[in-house]
Amino acid sequence: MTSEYFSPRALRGLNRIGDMLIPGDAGLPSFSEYGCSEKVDDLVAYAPAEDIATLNTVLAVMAVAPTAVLRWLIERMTAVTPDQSGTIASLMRQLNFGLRGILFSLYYGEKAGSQYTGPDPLEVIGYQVRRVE
Amino acid sequence: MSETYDYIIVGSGTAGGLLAYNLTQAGARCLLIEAGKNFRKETFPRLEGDASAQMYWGGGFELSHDASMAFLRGKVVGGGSIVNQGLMDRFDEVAFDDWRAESGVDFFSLAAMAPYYDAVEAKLALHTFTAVERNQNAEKFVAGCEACGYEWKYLRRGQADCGLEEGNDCIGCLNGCHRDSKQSSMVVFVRPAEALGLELVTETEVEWVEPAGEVVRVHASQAGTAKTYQARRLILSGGALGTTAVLLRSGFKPRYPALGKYFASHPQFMFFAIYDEEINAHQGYFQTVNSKDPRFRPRGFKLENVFAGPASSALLFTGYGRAHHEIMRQYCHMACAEVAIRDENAGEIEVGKNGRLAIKKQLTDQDRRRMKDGTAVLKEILAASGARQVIESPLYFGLHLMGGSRMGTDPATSVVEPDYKLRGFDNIYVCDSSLYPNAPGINPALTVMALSQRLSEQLTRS
Repeated sequence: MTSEYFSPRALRGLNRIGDMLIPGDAGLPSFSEYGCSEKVDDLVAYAPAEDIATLNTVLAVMAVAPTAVLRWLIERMTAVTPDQSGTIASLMRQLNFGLRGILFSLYYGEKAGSQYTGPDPLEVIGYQVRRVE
Repeated sequence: MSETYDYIIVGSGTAGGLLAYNLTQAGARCLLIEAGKNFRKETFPRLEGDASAQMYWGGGFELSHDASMAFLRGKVVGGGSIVNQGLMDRFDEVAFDDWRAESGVDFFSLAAMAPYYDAVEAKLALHTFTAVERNQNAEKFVAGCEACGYEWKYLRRGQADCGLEEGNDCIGCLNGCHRDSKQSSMVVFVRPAEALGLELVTETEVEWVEPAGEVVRVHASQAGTAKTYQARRLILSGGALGTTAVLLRSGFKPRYPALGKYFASHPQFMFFAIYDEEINAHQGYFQTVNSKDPRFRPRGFKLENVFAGPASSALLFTGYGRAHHEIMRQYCHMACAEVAIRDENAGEIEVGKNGRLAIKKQLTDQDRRRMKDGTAVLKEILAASGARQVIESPLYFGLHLMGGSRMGTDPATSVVEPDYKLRGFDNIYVCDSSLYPNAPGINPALTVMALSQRLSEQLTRS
């Protein structure tokens, strides 16, 4: 698995944080089982270069950070509200939007990895859209 | 350096497309510059993740300087009209009275704007929804409103033939309409203007503009290559953020103290209601009704019956791990509505040394009161509709971006003259939502078009 924008370590970090947010449940694959990180370039190719560089660094750190630290980070970033002031709160909100935006866009974006053979998450939650040309 | 055009129009969205069409039709040689891609109905991204990445600034959304609010801004030929809902509302006297009082511009009135609304509406296929077009999401909203004694109404939308009878689901329209039914700027104005001779350059980002005597030069970047275009007249139609950013990068801030100020965004707060039965809010027409209760307007909020695709919905919820899966398993049992407030124009747009936007936008005390007021009403409605659980998203979004280069008579508080000219220049015009004096509390698109129609007539007369 390679990416034009993310290092191999950053991709491991993406799968790691992805599995903590989306661990899989009966019938639903975990983020890494689904294999969608293979297609992360589909999404980040259009983001500002500065943002991609920052995310690359953050994900690379997440690849090696202790699990307890990542859990603390997830708790903080998902619990922060728009009304909390301060630099840390602002950083947590940026992480929350940025990380979860990519993870959910991949997971609910019909971007199964090449090795995945199970049901698509969209199918499991019942999302079917008829498109009449 | 290119040839000298009669007009360069920056931005192909709601304003720019209409201006390009009218001016080209009148015989002017026009160049339309768009930062985004040039999709056709066959090539729009099918999935929301791809659409967000490819058709929005920031690769999905842009955040305020402290990340307390996210802004959605179309970056595609057709601009916001490709990714919005195509809702077409005229302003009311309340909105225009407030605009006139704050700007000193006398044509801000329903009577003065009526001919331009009429002219624009004549160009669009407009449809007002009816009972048979309501999906279960709308049914729940209507049932809740009626149970609580609140008035609601059918929406009017720009659409030609959405194929609902053939089984089409309209949620995909948020990624660009694959039937060319939605009356986007691309469908109604840009394509016909191209047939009349309009030149369109895409994936070209305007960086700054330079008044140079009888002409205006436009400096842009196309795939990393510098490009310069020039015209006898320039019209900036890049929206509140786009137009204001170009003016700031062009060094106009010392000349206009108001540049970048008075930014508003109609902040929106989303609520999901979960029911025992299936709702399938993603099926059928996406959005057909909203609130009409006369008690809401003075209180500064309205309620919209909306929905979102799975990736966006997932982002709006707070849970993770098993809790995330539990919520998403109930996706087909969800209805959704939002509180949208008429916010104070206290935001400010700046450009950093790296050329990137810094958007300072926080809710004021009045905004918070309006949010809480609307939230209480919406929760009452959703509970009355039979919801067994209501989930309030903690994220704030701004979809109607307004102000920053506003129109007015006072140089201390405005940037653009009532004749749309950048104050002090005869050949630079601003026409888009950046000139809005304040937030109207009403969908801004049709009025942007009416204002563009008015400028078109002014220019073709001259």
